[in-house]
Amino acid sequence: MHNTIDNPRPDLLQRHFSNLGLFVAAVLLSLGNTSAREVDFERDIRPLLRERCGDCHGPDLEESRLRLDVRHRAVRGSEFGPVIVAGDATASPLIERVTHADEDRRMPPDDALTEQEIDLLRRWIDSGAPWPESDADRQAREDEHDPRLEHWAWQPVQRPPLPNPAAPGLHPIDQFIQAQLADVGLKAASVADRRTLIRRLSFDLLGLPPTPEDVARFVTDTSPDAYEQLVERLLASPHFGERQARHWLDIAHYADTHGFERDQIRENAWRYRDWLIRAFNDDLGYDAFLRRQLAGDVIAPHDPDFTVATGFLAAGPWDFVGQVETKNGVLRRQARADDLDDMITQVMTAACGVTINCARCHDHKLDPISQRDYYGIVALFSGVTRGERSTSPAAEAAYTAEKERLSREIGEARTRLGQLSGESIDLADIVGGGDGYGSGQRGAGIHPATGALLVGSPMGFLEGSTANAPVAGPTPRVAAVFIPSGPDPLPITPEGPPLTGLTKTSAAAWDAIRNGPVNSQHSTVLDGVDYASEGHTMLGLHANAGITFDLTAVLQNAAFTGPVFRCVVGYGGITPTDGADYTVAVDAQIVAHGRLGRDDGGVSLDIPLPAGSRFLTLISTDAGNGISHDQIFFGDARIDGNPKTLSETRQQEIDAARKTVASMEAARNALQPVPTFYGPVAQPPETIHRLTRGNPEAPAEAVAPGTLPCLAGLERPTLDSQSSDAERRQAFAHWVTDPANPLTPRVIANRLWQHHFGTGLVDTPSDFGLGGSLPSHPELLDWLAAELVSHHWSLKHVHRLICTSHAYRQQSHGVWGAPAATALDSDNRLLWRQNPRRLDAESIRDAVLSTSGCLNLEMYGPGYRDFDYEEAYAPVYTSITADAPPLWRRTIYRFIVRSTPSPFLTTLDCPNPANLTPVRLETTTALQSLALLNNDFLLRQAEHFSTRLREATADRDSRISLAFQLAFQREPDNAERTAARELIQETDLTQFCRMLFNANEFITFD
Amino acid sequence: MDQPLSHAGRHLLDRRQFLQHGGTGLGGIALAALLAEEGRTAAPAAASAAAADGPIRPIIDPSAPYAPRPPHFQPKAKNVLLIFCSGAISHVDTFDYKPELLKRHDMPMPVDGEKLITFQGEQGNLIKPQWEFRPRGESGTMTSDLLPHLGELADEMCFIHSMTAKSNTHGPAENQMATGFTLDGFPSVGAWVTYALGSECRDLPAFVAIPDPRGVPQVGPRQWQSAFLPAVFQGTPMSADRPIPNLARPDTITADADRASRDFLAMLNEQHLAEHPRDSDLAARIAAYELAAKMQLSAAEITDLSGETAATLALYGADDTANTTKARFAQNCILARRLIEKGVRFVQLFNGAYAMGEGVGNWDGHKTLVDQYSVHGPILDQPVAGLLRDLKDRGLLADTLVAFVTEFGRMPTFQKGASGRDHNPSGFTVWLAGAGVKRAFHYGATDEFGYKAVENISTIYDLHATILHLLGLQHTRLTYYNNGLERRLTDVHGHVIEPILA
Repeated sequence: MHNTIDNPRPDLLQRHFSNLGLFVAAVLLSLGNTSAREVDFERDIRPLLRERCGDCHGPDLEESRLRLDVRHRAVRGSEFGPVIVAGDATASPLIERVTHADEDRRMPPDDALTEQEIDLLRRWIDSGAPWPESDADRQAREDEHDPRLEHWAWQPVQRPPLPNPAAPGLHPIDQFIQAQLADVGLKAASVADRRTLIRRLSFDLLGLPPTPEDVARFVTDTSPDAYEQLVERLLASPHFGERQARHWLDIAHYADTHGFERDQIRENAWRYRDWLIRAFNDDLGYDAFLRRQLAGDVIAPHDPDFTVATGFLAAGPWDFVGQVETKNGVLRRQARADDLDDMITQVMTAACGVTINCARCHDHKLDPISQRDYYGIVALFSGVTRGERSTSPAAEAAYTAEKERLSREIGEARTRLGQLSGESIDLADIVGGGDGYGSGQRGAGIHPATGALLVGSPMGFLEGSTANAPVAGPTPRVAAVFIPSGPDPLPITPEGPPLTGLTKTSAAAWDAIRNGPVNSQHSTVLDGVDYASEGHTMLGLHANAGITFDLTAVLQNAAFTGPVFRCVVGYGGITPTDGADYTVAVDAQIVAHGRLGRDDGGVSLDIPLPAGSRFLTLISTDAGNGISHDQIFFGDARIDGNPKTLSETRQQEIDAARKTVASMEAARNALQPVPTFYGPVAQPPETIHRLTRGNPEAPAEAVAPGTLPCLAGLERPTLDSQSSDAERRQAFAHWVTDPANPLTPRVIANRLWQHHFGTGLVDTPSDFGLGGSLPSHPELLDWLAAELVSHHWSLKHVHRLICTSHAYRQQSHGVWGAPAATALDSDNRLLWRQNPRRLDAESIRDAVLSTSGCLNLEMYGPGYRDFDYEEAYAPVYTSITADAPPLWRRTIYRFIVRSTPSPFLTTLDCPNPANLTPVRLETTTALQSLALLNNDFLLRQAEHFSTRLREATADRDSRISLAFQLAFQREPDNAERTAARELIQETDLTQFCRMLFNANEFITFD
Repeated sequence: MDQPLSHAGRHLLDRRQFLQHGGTGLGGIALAALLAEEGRTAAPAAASAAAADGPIRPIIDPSAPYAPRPPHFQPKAKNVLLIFCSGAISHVDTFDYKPELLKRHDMPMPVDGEKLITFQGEQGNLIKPQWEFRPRGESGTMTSDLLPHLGELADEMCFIHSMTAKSNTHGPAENQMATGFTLDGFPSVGAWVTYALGSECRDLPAFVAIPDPRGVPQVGPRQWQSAFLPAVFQGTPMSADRPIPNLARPDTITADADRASRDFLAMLNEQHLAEHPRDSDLAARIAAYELAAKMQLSAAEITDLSGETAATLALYGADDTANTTKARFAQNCILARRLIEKGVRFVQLFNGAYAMGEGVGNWDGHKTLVDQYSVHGPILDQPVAGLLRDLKDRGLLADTLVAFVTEFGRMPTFQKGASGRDHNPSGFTVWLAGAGVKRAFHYGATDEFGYKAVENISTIYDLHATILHLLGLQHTRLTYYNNGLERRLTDVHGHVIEPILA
């Protein structure tokens, strides 16, 4: 080898060698190795390249980032890859471009090379493209060396040796910590007492205070590994996942609404939150944990354990107006660019601690990340939009197919039943002015406000209708028609008995009650049967309308006894679910009621009409959401019974057919729809351009998907502009979780450390770049990262390591020599003591509920909603006080509304989910004091707490003791007990409880 | 002040941080030196506060986060009153006089090449101002009859007629006026100002937001949020009829019981503190409870308008029994003056609310502008004019900067098939008054129709930079480190509008 300049990264090239797909890179190595006989580089080629290519591909312009005037740049190639394939001119893009048939693409523009020049180039390349490095080449190469690439965080994780192997009993973490302490003449503090330890561990690992029983058990445990056992118990608790998920949701800026102007609800975002809790509890390896969140839907598209994980990508805010509603293209492009920026900023800061977003408008000011790199990362996700999607498309398809099959069979069975039944009385026919045996007119109807018979004359919205004012129908068989609205009683005929139990409606109506479909009805088909077709009938009843039949008149000529009203009621509008309500009443008593949408299919009703029944009433109401598309209809609405002339065999056939229909309907009702969740919706990836100054209206060149070049030791995914969304994200997920990725394990190890000490070893946990801080204990950080990777990326392993260290267990106050230590290290970055901490907002709320005895430990499922919701263009959320068990769940299950933060939690520093929050800020304000003193939730909790004490014991001193145990996990001392007695004497137990919630000791732990 | 050790110093109010500020600064330096010797913790480049153009991050004492802090240079103004008209008040019907619209009334607007598609769709013809303009004040400034009381004070105003916004959608545009960014999640102007300067008033919040009696603006509390700044700097919402949340002692607890309870709490906390000597955070919490008690008194006083004279009530229109919405808004205006009087650093007064629907409760006059503005004009006019006059009469304008803003302007055309104007972020008017700005001054201009800013085009960044400048703050240096960036109110933009400075 002439030199090794081409090979500054042997590890990278070895990787490439092992990858046959990167043949080009391998061949490049020989560049400069083979001597040319016929062509002389310095004489023939260098001047040619300089003079014919150098204007554009020299130091001034660097078109396509290609320079052909200096060796190392020519070797590197353009932004699109190598241009010279040593030994193979035909395969070299350089030759392709100088000989291109298309004039527009041929190089140099407007001034093609001569045949002789091309021939020289060909021969030079075929001979191995030798290019001995000149002094000028070397100088250019050295000038370009970028010292930022030497930044510690980009270097591979090196598992350091333990500083003090001579102390085998010393916990590895403490070997690192104590070595640095010793360097400055400091010592670790003593181990804290057991009550302090269990309080610290419980809040850290579970986010909850320990119960008095937990404390007693631990404090009196004499086994030598009592502490280790406690750590194991807590790591195994299901509440561990709840606590850890809260940390992760902070960096995913998760919420249950979109945010922005129209802050709509995401009904199923919570499935991702539940996935997180389970993943932490199950100790899913952190590599798999990340891979699933980045690409689970393409790794295992039909497994909800994988798909739901990708809720991560969609967790942040989303601008409905900007992306969907606005007609302005500029706004839409801006909104989409912001959307992708938000997504990749979240991904890159969460997983890698890299502030990629700084390179959106220009190259990163501090880190070696170019603007092109930024858009390369954007391109990885350009196939992702956010939306409601299936957790398992395969299960979804199976469900739909099965439902369709059953519906078809139900329809067929119902038709067969109708054929068997014989002489029945058809109610639709009566609505058409007939007698029930076919004398009425199809399409005719009754005006619901006047009772007049209408033939044809389709009507629209009925203005000025009065609710609950029944009028007689056009024939004696129709006792009344009306426009219904609850909750007022509805007289079912002008003189008739009142019907109660309806909800309030808009009291608006549309068209007539029809013998057939109503005006503009979307569909007349239910379960494959068209009730407008021959052999069927339908009674169309658009909300809000109702009709009461006079059974005496209807049944006067009946050819059967024991009358039964049978029909298939369904929804003919377009709304998939919750379209409109139907109600059936006999003599003003509701006998059937339900809410239907298009997806529900038909419901068979089978309603016996007892002897002496006078009125049958059918009602359609608007489900409280206005009357658009509220097209209820009753298919084959008939009254029949035991025909006076029917054979027993026929009767049995009819009974059997009815059973068949009933059992198939039951089977259909039992089908469980496949859950959906809010996550990434894949689309063909958009072409991503570098945007000049980040402006979507100023696109520059297209950029292919890529990763960060500054992580030199990593195999870079082979992606191009043709790669599918699945290929992009899967490749990226593997790049992120490559065990050789220096950032991923360091960043998470640091986050775990931060959660146990309040500050990370790197105190800028989402910025490991040059703008971030240096680690206080670099070797320890690498040791933890290496431990993580070598233990199958087990997070619990790292928690266990940290929690069992002396550094973690030491005192936070009362430390011997504290003044001297403070003078040397006031921030306690060297950890000469543990850090005392204040509870975060969620933990304060959870601790209050736990102490009062109210805490509802139900896990998983949709979040609790401590607000009133009002549907509007921009929905209105109004906070309410949580004062019922369903709202007393742990705060991780709070339904988070971006536009309406919880005032109580916000005052206590709960962050706004518009922001990525790697570190919780802590403030101390008078408004916090007021919130804890006077907030309605706190006051009621103080009452519940006092009730708990009263119910537990009648003795005042015992109550005081129990209260201290529950709130502080200790007994009161004499002074406290005396003061408590006096307060209770002077005021009441509730005031005492209220003050315990306000105590510093309650919201901090040592 | 720079933090040689690390970014730890950037995290305000971090409990462990305080020891360093409050105690000996020597500790951090000694450790830094030791670590630097190891070659591992060389101070990062960002620790460059000593440099002339480096970031200036105020140092906050957690036990007194509102304590006054020095500005960067001698300020012209001490307080800010920001009046925000929600829904985008039409400049062509109020303060931006365009005679060409009278000449070309009901004629198409000539537009270069492009077809004009604004927020809601196509545009109809140019439409003249719907209220007559007249010369007012000694300056003869032309303002319309929609706001006659404000017109009388035209000599006090410093108009910027060439304001532009980045979005033509209410949400993002409100965000931009309130925070500098169209996206959610950035601190409001008031949060930045109180972060920088604290407050002269110790027993009231440093930053108060007064929502309109009809409700909150479109982006709601995001108008006064602290976002990534410490929560202590968020605006506290209160109005004349809605006091500070959780301020009052609950009715169910007597004053004596409350006092006895707090004595008990103080005893618990002091005993706890004795076991945790040197923990300034615990001490700060005790101090916060004491401040809360003071605030309960002073904040209850501040909303009690019973001591205001009949003349004052009449000046603001707070005695208008015929128009109760106006009277309630007027009471908010009186509250604003009382807060300024007390030295509250930043008061944000809202006119108009969102939830009632397009243009019903705010200035979003798309379809029936005359009908809607005939309701909103009187609610705004006399109360804000009364406020301005009262501030002046009491000498408060000498130290107070008043800024009258809205999220964007409206079109000089009517929307096709409607009698109202669509959104127009390309040119609109805001005005300043009081400390540090010229009187009866006009800066910038829109084109002959009021459609686009064409002369001295100004941005919201410029406006924010100017507000900070008047408070003695360099907008390029007032920063807060968040997620890898030194964040600024003005992002990487903004120029102080020098010509309007007095």
